[in-house]
Amino acid sequence: MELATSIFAVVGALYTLALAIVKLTPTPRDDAALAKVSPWLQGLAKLFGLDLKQGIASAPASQVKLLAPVLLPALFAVALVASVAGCTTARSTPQSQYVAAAHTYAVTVQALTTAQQAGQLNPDNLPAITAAVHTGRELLDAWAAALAAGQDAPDLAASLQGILAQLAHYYQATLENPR
Amino acid sequence: MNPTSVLLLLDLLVKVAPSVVALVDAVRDGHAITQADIDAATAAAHQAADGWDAAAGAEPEAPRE
Repeated sequence: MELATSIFAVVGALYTLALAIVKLTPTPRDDAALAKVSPWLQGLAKLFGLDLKQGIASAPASQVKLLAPVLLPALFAVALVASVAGCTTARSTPQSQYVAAAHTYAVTVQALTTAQQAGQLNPDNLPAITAAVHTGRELLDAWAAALAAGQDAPDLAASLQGILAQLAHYYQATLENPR
Repeated sequence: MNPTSVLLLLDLLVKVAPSVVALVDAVRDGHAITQADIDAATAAAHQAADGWDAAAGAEPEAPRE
């Protein structure tokens, strides 16, 4: 199960990227392409005991954009469990959890940056997003320092989990109310 | 799709591709994480944060001691 949740870290990152692509391209063609991906996501989720049937594929095309923000946090939640909180698993080490968390952070922040460059973010949210980005970076630095000192840092991992969820929330808000 | 969107899209793909590949490696069963992997992950996180600061017009964070 630990490996399963780890896989969702990758799926979550890729899905974030796919959503960013869809939001950057005004044609409906790629929205349809994303909707075609969802059965694969559902099948993968089912393999690991998760039911995403309420996701994109079972919805009418007109609801895809409304349901995507629901699916995204769900994927993020599982991804964060894998990349941040699963430090005690047999297969994953604190080092691999850090690397996964740092890259998940990087992909999330890059997606938000691109949304900002495309003018899709609400300016009112920028200070809070900036604060979350900075806090996430500080937590990662502290986590890396702890690893270098041979220590695990579950408290830092948990705090980073909250920051990543917050960043995902702002990305979700962008999807719900693009400018 | 207008040229600006194409450029933004390409920029995003180029920036996140290494992170996605590294993420796959990090969660791959049996992949040994080295200090170089940790340093690369830290660098990717810092680069992403710096990119956000530039895009949002925020004051960049002072480097930690």
